Amino acid sequence: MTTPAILETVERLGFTLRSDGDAIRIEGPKDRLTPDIVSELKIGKPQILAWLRDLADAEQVPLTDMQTAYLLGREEALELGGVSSHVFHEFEGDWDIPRLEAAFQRVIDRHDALRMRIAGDGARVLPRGRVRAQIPVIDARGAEGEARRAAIREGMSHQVMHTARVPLVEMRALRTDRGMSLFVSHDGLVIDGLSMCLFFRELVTFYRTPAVDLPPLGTGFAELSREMLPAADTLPAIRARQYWQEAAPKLPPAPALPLAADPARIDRPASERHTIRVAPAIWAAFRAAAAEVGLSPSAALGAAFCEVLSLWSGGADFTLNTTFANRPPVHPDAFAVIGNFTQPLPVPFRHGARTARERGLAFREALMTGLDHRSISGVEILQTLARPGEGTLRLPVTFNCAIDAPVDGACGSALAALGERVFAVSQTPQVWLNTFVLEVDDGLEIEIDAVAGLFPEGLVADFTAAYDRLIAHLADAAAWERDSFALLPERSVATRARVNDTQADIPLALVQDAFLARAAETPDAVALITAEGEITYGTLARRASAIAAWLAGRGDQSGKLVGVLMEKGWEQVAAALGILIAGGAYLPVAADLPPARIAEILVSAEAEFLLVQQQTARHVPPGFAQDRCLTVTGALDATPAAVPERRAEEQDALAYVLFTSGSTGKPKGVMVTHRNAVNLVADINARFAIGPDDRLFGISAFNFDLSVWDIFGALSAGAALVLPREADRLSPEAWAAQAGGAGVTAWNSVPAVAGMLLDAGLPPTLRLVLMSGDKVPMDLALALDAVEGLTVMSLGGPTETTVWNVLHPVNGLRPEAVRVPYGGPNRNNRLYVLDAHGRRCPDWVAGELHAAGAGVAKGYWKDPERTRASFFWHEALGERLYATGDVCFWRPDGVLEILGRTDFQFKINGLRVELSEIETRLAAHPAVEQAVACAVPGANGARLACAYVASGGVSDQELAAYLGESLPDYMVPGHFEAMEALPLTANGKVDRKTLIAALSVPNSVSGATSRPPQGDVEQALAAIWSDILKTDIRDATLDFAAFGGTSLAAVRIVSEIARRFGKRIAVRDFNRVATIEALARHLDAASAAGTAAE
Amino acid sequence: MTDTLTTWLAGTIATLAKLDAPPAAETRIGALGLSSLATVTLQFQLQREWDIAVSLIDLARDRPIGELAADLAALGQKEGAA
Repeated sequence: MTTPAILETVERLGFTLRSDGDAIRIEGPKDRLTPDIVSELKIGKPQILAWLRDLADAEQVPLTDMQTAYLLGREEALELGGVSSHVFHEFEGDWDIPRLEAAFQRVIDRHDALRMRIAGDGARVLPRGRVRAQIPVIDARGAEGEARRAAIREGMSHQVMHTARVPLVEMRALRTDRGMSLFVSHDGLVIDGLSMCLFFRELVTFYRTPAVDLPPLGTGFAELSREMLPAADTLPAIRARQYWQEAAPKLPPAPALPLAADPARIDRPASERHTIRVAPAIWAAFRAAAAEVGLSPSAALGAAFCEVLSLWSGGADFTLNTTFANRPPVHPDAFAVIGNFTQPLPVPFRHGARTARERGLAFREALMTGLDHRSISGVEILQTLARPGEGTLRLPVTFNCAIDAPVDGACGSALAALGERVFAVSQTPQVWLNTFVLEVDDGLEIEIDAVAGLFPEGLVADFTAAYDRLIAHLADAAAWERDSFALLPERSVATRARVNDTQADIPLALVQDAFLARAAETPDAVALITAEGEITYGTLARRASAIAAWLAGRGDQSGKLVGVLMEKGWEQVAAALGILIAGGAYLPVAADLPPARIAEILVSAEAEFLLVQQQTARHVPPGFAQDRCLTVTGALDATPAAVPERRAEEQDALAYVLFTSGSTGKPKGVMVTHRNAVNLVADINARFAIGPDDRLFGISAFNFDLSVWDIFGALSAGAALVLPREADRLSPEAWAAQAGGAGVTAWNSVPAVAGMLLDAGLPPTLRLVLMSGDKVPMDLALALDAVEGLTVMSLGGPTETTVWNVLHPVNGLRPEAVRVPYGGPNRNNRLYVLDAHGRRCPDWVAGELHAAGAGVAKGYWKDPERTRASFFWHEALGERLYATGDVCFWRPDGVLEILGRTDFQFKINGLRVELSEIETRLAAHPAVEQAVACAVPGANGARLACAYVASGGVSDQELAAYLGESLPDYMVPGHFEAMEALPLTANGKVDRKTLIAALSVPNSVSGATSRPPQGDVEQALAAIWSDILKTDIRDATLDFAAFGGTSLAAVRIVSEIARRFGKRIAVRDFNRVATIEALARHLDAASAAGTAAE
Repeated sequence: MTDTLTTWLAGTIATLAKLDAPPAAETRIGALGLSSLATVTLQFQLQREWDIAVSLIDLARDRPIGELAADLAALGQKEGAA
């Protein structure tokens, strides 16, 4: 063993060696001292003693900040730590090893960094001649050559050299039957990017020409590194510190690259290399083009890299971690010295400008501005990026450019001169993706090293190919004037084109035509099945025609909205058909909405006429004239309308308008045309072979667009629609009984409702389940998939894309699936995932889902401004798009996955909620100064909570009641939190993250003292809640909403209480007794009343 | 001073950018493709040899070498006067 090897071995075992006269003192755990080590120490004692004396005599050189950071990066406790900054190369060729060893020796003797022994407290430089160069040769000629090669690569490519090793460079040679391999591994503690080129340049020079005598260097790393020490109190350092402290909060975050794994969970990070080789002609043209637009080659390469990074980061602004060779220009030889002079420099990239040239110039300006403030170390600069509450801004994507070095031959060609480099890889602690650019033989080599397993499969390869393509594009100066570039892989473009190839004929008909034709052909067929009886196609058509006649008698209804203020019942279906026959568009209004909301919708819709049931007539707003209301009853009768010839333009007339939650505090009316609806019905009916034998169950509310397919899907196919009673709308047992009795074959609802039906018992005749409006939980998906003969589909799409424009089978999910995918577009619909700048996102990259095609609605009723904001023409795609607000990404196989929402909108049981609408309404309360609504995580999905600042005394209950006057129940938050002031971010915006954390803590209602459930009833209730809310209920005083309770969970609890206690509680009553304590009291009171009555 | 500085700048830039010959005074800085390393070195040499302290952002601003020299000369005089 060599002296450094012996020292490394004993230090790894935890010993420290010191010279004491002629003796070697050993300090450390004696039990680990093996006879072999003792023997090695005895044999090598003279050399070891000389070494230790040299070390003791050597002046201690302080470590640079970067060296200290690299030392810390070796700590395994850090995320993606436990690695060194390290580069490994594998060459093939034929070398005279003793001669190569001699060349290596000369490089070591020439550069003090290669004779440095580094420890936490500093480095000591050993004298020339003390550190011996060694290149062990392994002779593996024979069968095991390749296995040995693989083993060496495995061992050296990601090794963390012990810092006791001198030099921190390892070379080994391997002879196999194929020839000779040379393995070189060097540590970033002493060799940076430019130094790597210098090292190989000198190694090759001394090897090829042993007689050559390079001029001695007038300086060394030890001397230069002292110049690099942080200047704490000089004026430039003070100014630089002040600059970065002011600039840091304004820097955008790190690039938001998609990840496949949590970096914190990658125990042993290893790198994978992707290499770009730019041909000399393209590189020359790129340089010339860069000069023409006023950019240096390295800035142009950096800016081009950012263009690609921007596309793969969803278009968000970001900060790139660049590095700068901070060689103090105090000596002419400074650039010829090997060492670690690298300094990190954060450079923001903002996509604001219109052209790549403008963005490139802005990037260069940012780079220069940063360099102008380099009087503090890069590590200190990074430390200024700490943000309140968020820790230090991490910049794990780095870009290093080692071109145009001011030393001849210090480029990638020096590596190529040693032999054919067949493998190389680098690692840097806490870096996800490291890019290194160097010139090789008049061309360019770009090495992109990414942490293996951190990014989704294929992402880095696509990214690398895109960078390669962009460099070729930008070799033409004119291309710098463009805003975007075709960088997606052809494979992705082709896959998406195939998925979006959905074109099919749309029947030239209005949405009610197929029903009228069925009514004429088979008038006695059953159209509707209610608890009260059956209604045939003929009867339904006559009643609808009577409604149409009533409306037509009051004027032309074309383009007008007619309100339908009803609860669940056949009358809704007749009303919709009658309005459509009359040429109008139907406007569903739920009868259980607050009166103010009903009035607001009718006013916004400019509805002149209103259709009601006998039981809903009392909900007609006071100002609405009685003679403009028609009460729909079974007494209505008229000759069914004939189906007239249709012209295509009639299909663009409105069929219905659905009002949804709106961000300005006012609901917005989505205008859906006949063409939209006909396309949807034709697609779904054909796709699932809906026919006269089918029975659909109309569980969804009339003002929820799932009802559109229930009604027109069934009636267009000659099938029957089964309608539950209004009173049974929240009773799964009643649905199961009615559906079973009616022989229901198809079910269409939000997943939670489908889950309740599953619990209550699926009808034996059921063959199709369609779930939409919310995520399909995996356990529900798997449970339904297990039902034999059942086709289960997940569908999606906002109201603006006509019920559904995306679907995916739930049956046969891949075993590794963790969620049901969003899927792909249905007939005549197309989908695009676009970034913030309207560019198509690469695979895996999240962007906003945009819809195009026959499903895209006409816009918002009487609201051109909001229509323009959401529905627009995309020039590059040549499509009219609707921006859905859903955040999605494409998988490489052409399947969409959904992640969430871009805005403050989310869904509760499939119903859309705009948080800003709640905020606007609440802020209108006289006592409320500010209000912020949030969706906070609950055991059963998101729940609503609200923080507010009030000027006067107002209780949570008062605020809930106030909101309840104008908003539907599902939009009234279950949790209010009074605050003295809302938390703000450093930028002065409301800190929603902090608020969500604060509002996620369950609170007890009315400040009751917490206590566990007591007595049989409370404990039984707690068990029911725990089971359904999937959380351990230990407090009888906590509010149901605080546990994430939803109306659907309430339905389940009420059902379970009825089963176990034999007592049925109305869901509305349940909401009033929202704690275990109150619910138990309510049950006791009900029992007492029952007993008294008996 | 401007002419001398122009000549010096053209020569120094030719060395740093590894050009075959010094660029003309009309050549724009942006078209020379000076790397950040070269720009930092030029900044250092201006300070050392001409006692002119100029920021990198100013030094890298795209304009003819002659114009840069005039601006630097003015800056040098101003600093001298101060």
